[in-house]
Amino acid sequence: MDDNKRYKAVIIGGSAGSFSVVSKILSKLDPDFPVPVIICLHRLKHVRSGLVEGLNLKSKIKVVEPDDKERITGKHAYLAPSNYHLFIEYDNTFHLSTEETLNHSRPSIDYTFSSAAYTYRDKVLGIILTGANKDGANGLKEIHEKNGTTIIQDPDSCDIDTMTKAALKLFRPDYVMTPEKIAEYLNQLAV
Amino acid sequence: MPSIFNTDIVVSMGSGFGIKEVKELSSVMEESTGIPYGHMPVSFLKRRLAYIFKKHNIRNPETFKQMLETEVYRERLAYDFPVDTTEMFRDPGFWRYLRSLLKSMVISDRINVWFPEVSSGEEVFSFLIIAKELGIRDKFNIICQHHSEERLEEIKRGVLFNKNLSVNNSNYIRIEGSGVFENYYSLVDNVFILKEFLLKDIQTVHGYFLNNPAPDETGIIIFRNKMLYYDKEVSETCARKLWDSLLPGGIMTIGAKEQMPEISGEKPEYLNTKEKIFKKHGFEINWNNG
Repeated sequence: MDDNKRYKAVIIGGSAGSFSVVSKILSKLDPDFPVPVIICLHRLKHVRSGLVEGLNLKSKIKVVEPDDKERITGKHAYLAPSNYHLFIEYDNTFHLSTEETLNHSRPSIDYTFSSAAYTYRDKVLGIILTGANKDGANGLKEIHEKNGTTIIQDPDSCDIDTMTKAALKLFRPDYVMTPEKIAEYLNQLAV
Repeated sequence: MPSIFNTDIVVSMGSGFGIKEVKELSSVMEESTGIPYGHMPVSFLKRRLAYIFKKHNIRNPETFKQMLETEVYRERLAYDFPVDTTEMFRDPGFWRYLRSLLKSMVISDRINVWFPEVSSGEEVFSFLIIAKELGIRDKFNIICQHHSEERLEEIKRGVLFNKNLSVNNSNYIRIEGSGVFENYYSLVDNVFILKEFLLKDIQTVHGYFLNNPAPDETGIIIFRNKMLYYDKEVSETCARKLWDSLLPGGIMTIGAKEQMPEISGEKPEYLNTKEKIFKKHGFEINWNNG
């Protein structure tokens, strides 16, 4: 794996319980982290506010919920809005959708990972965190198959390891790491 | 010939299609139907085409192109391709705000409420229930427009989809409706149907809204989460057409995460930024607090 390749995006997926892990990673990022961080978390569909505000409390880069067709830029973290799927389009913009749920989820992590795999191919880094269902495993595998880099949170460090173990069953990731190591690894990319 | 869509994963991700193939198919679809499929996001087209191929048991693109030549198949496509509205009272905050607006309207003549490109009834039914609870249901003519006759027929009959009933009910509780949600529908021949007293004065218009004249004298336009499925160019065309057809003082709504394009070099005025409700300048429709 070539650690020096320039990534166009980092994609992070996890269930609602991964909020604290995502918050920890964002709090340790270099404030000038140049690569867009795109986050897809399972969340309550009727609660539209609170999550971004919560992440922004500790994050070193600005966290926003993108609008449809919004351009993706560095030094930002983007959180998938509630009750919308989040896709990355070929012109480096977001596409939101109200299509049917996938894996009982909207936003679905599989969808976000999969669209990132097709858009960025080997220039994407996908990370799957703690979670209670299998959503995300197939999408992360697609990133792996397009020669993107994949990281799975060490199941021993997960509150619930269903999501990470489902991914581990499908393919061998580039790294299995604790949240602290994931943040360290990301900051190396910023150098 | 085995189908390329042989697993659910390939279908849901749309990974059976390449970009070139998607662009070619969407261009043929646009030519045969007059609907701007070629201006839809590629990732969306990939998934939706995979879904259509599986649902219609189509094994290769050539067969699909041939099928598009018949009117019967074009109607089937018009029925199956659009994305349904997810649920009734989606974004309860939007419906609470809309209810407060309707309450403040100064209504002398009946007001036309236009639902362009309405592929399923959830938004229409939500509006009807709110208007009924305010005691002003008879003040509105409801105009539903779509390019699938069968979709329009379902809306006119008040068909509710079972899978969403519990979500609809939860949302109804969140908007703090004054009634009981279950009282608004009944089970008829194994289908949940909205009660008839809500469905009076629903006018349906068959045809794609961008290719047909807009209804006259429209005071309210509900167009939420429809521009998601178009590129910037067609989204702007949609917004301009709808805005131009709105009476002065009228309101237009789009989805909470959609962006309202500039119209004739100006951004329409927000009535509610979060819920993306816009009001047109003028006084043909008046609001006590608008």
